[in-house]
Amino acid sequence: MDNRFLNIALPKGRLGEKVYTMLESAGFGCPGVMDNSRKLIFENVENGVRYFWVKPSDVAIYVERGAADLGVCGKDILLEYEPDIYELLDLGVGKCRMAVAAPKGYVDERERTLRVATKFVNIAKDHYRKAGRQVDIIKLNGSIELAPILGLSDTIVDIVETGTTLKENDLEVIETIVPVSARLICNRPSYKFNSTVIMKLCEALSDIKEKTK
Amino acid sequence: MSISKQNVISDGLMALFSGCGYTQYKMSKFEEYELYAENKAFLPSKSIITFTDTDGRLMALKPDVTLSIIKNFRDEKTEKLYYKESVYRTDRNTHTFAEITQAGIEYIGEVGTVSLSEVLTVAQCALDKISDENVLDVSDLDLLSAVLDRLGVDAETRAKLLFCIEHKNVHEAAAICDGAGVSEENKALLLQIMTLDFDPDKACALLCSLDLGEDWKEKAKKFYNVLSALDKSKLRVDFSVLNDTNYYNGLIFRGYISGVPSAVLSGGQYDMLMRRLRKTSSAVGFAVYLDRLDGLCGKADTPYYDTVILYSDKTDAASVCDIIKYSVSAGMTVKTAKETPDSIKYGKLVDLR
Repeated sequence: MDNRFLNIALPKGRLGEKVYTMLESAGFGCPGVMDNSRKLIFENVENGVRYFWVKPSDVAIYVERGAADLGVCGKDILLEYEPDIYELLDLGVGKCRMAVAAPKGYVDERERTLRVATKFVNIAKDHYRKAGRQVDIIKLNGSIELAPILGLSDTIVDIVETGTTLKENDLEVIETIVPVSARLICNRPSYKFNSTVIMKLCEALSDIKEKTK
Repeated sequence: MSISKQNVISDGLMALFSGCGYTQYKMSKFEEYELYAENKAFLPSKSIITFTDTDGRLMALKPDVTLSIIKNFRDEKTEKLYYKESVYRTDRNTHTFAEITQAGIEYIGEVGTVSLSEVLTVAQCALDKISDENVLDVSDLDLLSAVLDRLGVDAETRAKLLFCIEHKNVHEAAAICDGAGVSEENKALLLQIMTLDFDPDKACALLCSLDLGEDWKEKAKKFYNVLSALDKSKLRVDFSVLNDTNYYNGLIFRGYISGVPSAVLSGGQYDMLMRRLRKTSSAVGFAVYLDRLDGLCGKADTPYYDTVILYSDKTDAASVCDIIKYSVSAGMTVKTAKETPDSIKYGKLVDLR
């Protein structure tokens, strides 16, 4: 952790770019961040900010371990990994939902164990534990929609944005677990030692979020 | 020979605790499993390494120090103890067991404003021993519980709100309050506590000004009195510092060092745990997590030896031993090797090959 800079981990992809635009409007811009290059770290000495692009699911780890002071990640990641961080702001972008989906017309046979395919093992486990349902969680790393089609699982627990992929595969949402959006997260000790600038950044982002509502 | 910075810090802490009138408490590496099984929720890690002793008793490698100290405490007089011990817990990232070294103090007996201020002062001094760039965050579970009680929410909602408080998640706390039908006035009170000014004077002024009944006033005043005796330059009031209310009550605190990614010191008042172990006294204490200071200590210095003796299988052993004896008696360091070592520094090279 370099104390001269406020280190911010951004998730690679559209969401990260959208949030960076908000950060730039908040006065925390940095030249080159949006350039289409292979460079991973960008610094702006003038406003003391440093950005790095990381895999979305890794942002929370960078922040929890103090390699980044701040980071932007989806609520899904926070629920799944429960990192020991502060969740300072709901940025109101990257909105989607964590949902249970199944083939159209699916009926849950409660007399047998439910087979659930998901990337989000902890979220699925927690959801069915609260519902008192016995489940067999099948951990997959991608193409979750394939699992019920091929008979690998009865249902899936996954992120649903527009529902187009589900529709194209004859699946439908049967239950929403939790709404998801991008959150601004902060390393605990960093908040103690950089509180003034972090609070300023939060306030500015909050204002921008309100204006774009 | 170089001494690692971690050892220097550890020695400094021991000297501090001893110099403040605390007596060293040495304990065995293991304890009967039953003690931990009955108080699992108190332990930061739920997995415990167990084994069966030769007499058939189920034993455990200590996952915690405080429980062992309380178990042996007698409610007759106040005890001020310090320790440096290893505990065995699972790492939350690797899910494997790790040996963790802790140093800390326990003040058990009659705990009042003065003793609470004293323990907090020792905690501040302990942080100063590690680095000048430190912060001690202080919270009060009694005050927080009083606010949560006013909301009139069920246990599940309360747990969700506590999670939000711990993560400074104001936006979700507000939404949970709305969903649970909490009045606007009580919601505003909770959010006010969550976003309280860090400055101890400002925070205490606000807490004392809240009109929440006599009991609140008394607790807020006590909180103020404890903090007013301390060095406030590195002290902050922050209600995101939380701990299990089944064990802890009143004051709780956490210490941070710039450059270390998580809290290095954690402590609080644990009268509820004392009651669970059938003790009538009060208690407060803290632990410093020495293993978390590894990153702070940086790269170890290259070891230095006054003399390096190079030998082969044909070298006369007596000549090597003579040089070792001479060096030791002269207070010098010496190292033997078959090849010139490249990872050390040395003063004189004696080649006996």
